[in-house]
Amino acid sequence: MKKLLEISLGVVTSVGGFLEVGSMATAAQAGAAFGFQLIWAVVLGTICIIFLVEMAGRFAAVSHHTIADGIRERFGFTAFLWPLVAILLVNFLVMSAEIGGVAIALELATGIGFQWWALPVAFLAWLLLWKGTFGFIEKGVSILGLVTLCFVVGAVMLKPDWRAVATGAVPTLPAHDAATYWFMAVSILGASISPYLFMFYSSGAIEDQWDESYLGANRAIAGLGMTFGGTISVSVLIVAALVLATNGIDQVDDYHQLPLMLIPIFGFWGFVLFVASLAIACFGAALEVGLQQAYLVAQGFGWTWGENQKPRDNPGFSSVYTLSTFLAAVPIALGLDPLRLTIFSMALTAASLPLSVVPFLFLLNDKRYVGEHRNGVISNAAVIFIIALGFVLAVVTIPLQIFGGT
Amino acid sequence: MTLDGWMAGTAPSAYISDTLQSVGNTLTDIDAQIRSAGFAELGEQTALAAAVKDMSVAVARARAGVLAGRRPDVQEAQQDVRAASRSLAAAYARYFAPKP
Repeated sequence: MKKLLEISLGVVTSVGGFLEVGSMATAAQAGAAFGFQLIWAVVLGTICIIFLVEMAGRFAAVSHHTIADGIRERFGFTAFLWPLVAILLVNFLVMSAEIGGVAIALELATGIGFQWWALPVAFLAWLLLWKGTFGFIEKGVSILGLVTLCFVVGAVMLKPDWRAVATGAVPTLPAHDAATYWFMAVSILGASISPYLFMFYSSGAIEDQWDESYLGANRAIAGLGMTFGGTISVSVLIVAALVLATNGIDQVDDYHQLPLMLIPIFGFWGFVLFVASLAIACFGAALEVGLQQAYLVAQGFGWTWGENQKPRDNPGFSSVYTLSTFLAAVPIALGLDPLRLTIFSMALTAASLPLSVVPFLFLLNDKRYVGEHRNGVISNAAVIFIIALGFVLAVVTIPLQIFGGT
Repeated sequence: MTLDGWMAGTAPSAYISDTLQSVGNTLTDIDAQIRSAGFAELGEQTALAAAVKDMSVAVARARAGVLAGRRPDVQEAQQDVRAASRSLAAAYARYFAPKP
């Protein structure tokens, strides 16, 4: 019964924590520009993240190491430096975009420019990281994040042609704007297969003191949580396709366009629900990315770490999230367009995938870490596929950014 | 769509006003781009620039109406926006049509 409760809470946490500014913006842009045609990218990204999250959780539960710990120990610090620097940089951009997402929500709610909100949002995030526990951050914000289910309700209320939705899950070639189509696909994949998601998940498993008895729960949380999370992203895409595209908005290049998605469905409450969804989802993601930066550096340098400890007991760990949080607010405070930053950071996330995913192939097949719980044929095939996909994305991202970026 | 939201009372004035200002800024950028592009026939370029200008004026009037809370002004500006939008679409199609 206790395990079932933990699984339910884990699934709810994954659902609430899945949507963030990247998945919301990329799905909205894709839906407005290409209708249901890019649903396949969300589906593919969700399948990939299910595998990676399951492996990250299994690795942590069996070996009592996080993925970052494992990379440093298995390959040495010099080899670990490359993924460390790449992930830190990508996470910095993602965190900046998330703070931008909260700032936009506050601008929409108050009319005060988003730049003015960047530092107060960063301060609030830092305060919660400083005072809060892992459970509070992981579960509290994610449960509030269930407000993003309004997109699922909205999508159902719009009564889409479900056959067309299902057809969108099969990759097809675009009829127009090919470069933009593929750039959108890359950005959606970057938003879905975000390294911070599976890195954070493995650190969380250690914080929650998982052991081998959690392997079943891990599988259920990874499978169900990410599937439901992906469903929310698909719902955003459906709503954008049916509301924005049908009203002549086929290009989302201004964040002011985004609340229009829910207003025709829920009226004034649509505006409120959109603002709440954006603020909560992005704030939760900003907290998670901030923590992930600290986990990554502390685990990489072998410092004491843990969100459940007092900051004075792990000064290096708390200094990293303090610095990360305030630095990430700077580009937004300087007026950088959060929507452009989001799309750019999602594409860069996709390009950095090989560096963070290649180690899975070695770590999850190393008996010293995972013993009899090594990867099977399907998991290894999935990792190899994701690595190959990562390499393709790494090669095509920059040209697509130039020719198809917004 | 934005003005429909305001007329129906489903979106707050501050949001609508910011959105219209953002649209106005975008139109100003487009106008500057059209004027700096020298590859099209002068007549087509002028027609497109005029359509963008009409749209800018209508959007600015709509924003002023929203800020003042005057529904009749907004309604009138909304009709102008729709008309300007049709002219803009036609001028855009002529401007980018394949040349013989």
